[in-house]
Amino acid sequence: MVDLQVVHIFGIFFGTTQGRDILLCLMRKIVIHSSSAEFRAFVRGLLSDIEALFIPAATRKELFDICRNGGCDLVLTDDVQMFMNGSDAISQIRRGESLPQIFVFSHDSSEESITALLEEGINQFITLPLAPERLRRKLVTQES
Amino acid sequence: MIPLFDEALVVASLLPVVMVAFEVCRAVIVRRRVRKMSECVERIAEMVAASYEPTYRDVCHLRSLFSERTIVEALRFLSVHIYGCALDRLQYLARYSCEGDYGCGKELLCNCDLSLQAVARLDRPLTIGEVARVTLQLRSVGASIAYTPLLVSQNRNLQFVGLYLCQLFSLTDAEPHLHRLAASEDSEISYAALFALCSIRGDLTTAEVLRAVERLAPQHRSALVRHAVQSCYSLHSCAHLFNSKERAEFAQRVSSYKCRIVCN
Repeated sequence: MVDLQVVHIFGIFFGTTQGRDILLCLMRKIVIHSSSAEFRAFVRGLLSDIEALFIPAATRKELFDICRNGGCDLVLTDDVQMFMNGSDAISQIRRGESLPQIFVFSHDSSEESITALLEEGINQFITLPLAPERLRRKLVTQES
Repeated sequence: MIPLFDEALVVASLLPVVMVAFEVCRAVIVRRRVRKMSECVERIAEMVAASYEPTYRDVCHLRSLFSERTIVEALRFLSVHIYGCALDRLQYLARYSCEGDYGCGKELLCNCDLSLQAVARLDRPLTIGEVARVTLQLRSVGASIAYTPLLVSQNRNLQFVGLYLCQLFSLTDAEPHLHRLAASEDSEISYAALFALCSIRGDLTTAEVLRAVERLAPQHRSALVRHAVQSCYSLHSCAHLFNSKERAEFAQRVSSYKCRIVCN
C-alpha cells in the first residue's frame, strides 16, 4: 500500500486531477447508509479525521447500486430491517469482486437480534448510544 | 356583479398556482432546515470526536454558523446517539451554546430530574422504545436515579420508566413494589412488572403474580415463558404459572444449548 503522503506529493507534482484520481483509488471507500440525513452527518462527523472517501446513501436502492458498481470497502448502516426476514440484502451488497465489511448500528441490543444479524453475515453490530473511540477501534480492527 | 365575477374567476384560476408555489416553498424550507441540521450535527460530532477538548472559541464559531434552535436540536439528536467521554464534551457545548430555555433538549443533557419531569408532563403514554431511550439517556449521563418514587408514582409513564430501570439494573430491593404493580389493573403495567420481576429473579409464587399471569394474552404468556427461561428459573419454580403445553416449551428451552445455569 503506497503511503498517502507520497501520493499527495505525486498529485501536486503531476497535476491535481491525476493525483486526486490515484488518491481516490487508494483510499478506503466507506458507504454511510441511512434514511436520516442527521444520522449520516453524525457518522461522517465522528469519522472525519479518518483517511477515507465517504459515500452517502439515503435509500436501499442507492446502497445496492453503489455496491454493484464495486465502489465500497465498508458499509455503515442503521437499517436493521434490511437484513431480517430472509432478505437478500447481504448478497446485494456483496456482489461482484468487492466484499465490503458491514457494520450495523441499532438501539436494540437484544441477544436475538444480534445473533440473527451475525448469522446473516454482518461483521459488526454497534449499539447506540456509541462511544466514538469504540467505533474507531472497530474500524481499525476490521481494517487490520 | 360582473366585475366581481371576473375577479372571483381570476382568484380561482390563480389559486392552484398559489398552492403549488406554497408547497414548493415549504419543501425548499424543509430541505434547507434538514441540510442545516445535518451540517450542525456533523460539525458537533467532529468536535466531540476530536483529539483535543473543545474550547469556548469553538462554541462561538458554532453559534456564528447556526441558530440556537438548530444547535439545540442537533445536541438533542447527539445526546441520544453518543456515550462516554464524548458526552461530557457534548454537555460542555450544551452549557455554553444554549442560553435560552428550549424545553427538554437542554434539560436532558444537563439535569436528569428535569428530564423525568418532562416525561411526567407528557399527555400520552410512552412507548416501550421511548422508555428505553429515556432510560439509556439517563444512564449515559451517569446520574443516580431513585427508583422508588418512580414506582410509587401515580403517573403511568414514570412507573414504566421505574419498571424498566429495575429490569435494566436488576434492582432486587424493588421486589415488593413489583409485586404490587403486578396486581395492577393496567395490563401493560402488570405485564412490565412481571418481566421486571423475572429479571431480578424475584419470587413468582405469590398470589399477585398468579392472578397477573392468568390475565395475560397468549402471546404475552409465551413471551413470559421465554423470559423466565432466560432469567434462569427452573421449571419447578414456575410450573404453577403455566399450562401443560407451556411447561413442555419451558422444559425444552431449559434443556437447549442457550441455558447454562438454572437456579431456584
